Amino acid sequence: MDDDRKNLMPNGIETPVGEDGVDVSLIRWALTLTPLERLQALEDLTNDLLGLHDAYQKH
Amino acid sequence: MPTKSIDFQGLLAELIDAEVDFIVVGGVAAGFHGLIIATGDLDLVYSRDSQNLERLERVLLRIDGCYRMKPEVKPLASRFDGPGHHNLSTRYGKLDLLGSIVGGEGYKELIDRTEVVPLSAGRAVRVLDLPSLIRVKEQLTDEKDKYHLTLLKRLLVERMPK
Repeated sequence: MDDDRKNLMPNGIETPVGEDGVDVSLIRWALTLTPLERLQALEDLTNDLLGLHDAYQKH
Repeated sequence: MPTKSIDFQGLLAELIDAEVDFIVVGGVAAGFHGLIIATGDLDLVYSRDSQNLERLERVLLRIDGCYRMKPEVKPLASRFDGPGHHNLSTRYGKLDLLGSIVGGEGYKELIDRTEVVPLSAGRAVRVLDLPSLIRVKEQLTDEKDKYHLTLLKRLLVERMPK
């Protein structure tokens, strides 16, 4: 593959999943953010998961 | 009891304002570089310089710092002068203070492999650079670390200039 960033399906459409099995769409989105925005996103994600964990514990 | 939410920005701001010398490593460092995965704690390698340990103690006591497994033990400067790890709780969430990381490297050895990342209100933080984060992960063997290593390597490819 000339460009490791591209991973084409047989029909020529680019897939967000690389040869290593990683869906790169989240990484590409994160790279459009500033480092501070990335930190905020990471914090939000972690707090959402903590909230889900608490909700599960209640049941 | 509900799990306390985390506030990494608040915790970093406290440490920066207290002029503590440290390097962000682990999941939050990966997040700064562009790999957003949930992480329950902030991992820092701190300078073991005695004045820095005094500053660290002062801020930790102010933000209700205590050992997670032994809340009655205060995080005093005298405890931090070795290469070990200290798993603490604070009012902002979990904080893991590392005297060194795998391979025995501490603040002095790592400082040249960091990037300065701007935060809000004119603050900035030192973060271990991506190639070094990958080298650290390569030395870890648990399944979660292996998975994160794959993601970090992909991130490195994605960050290369096109």
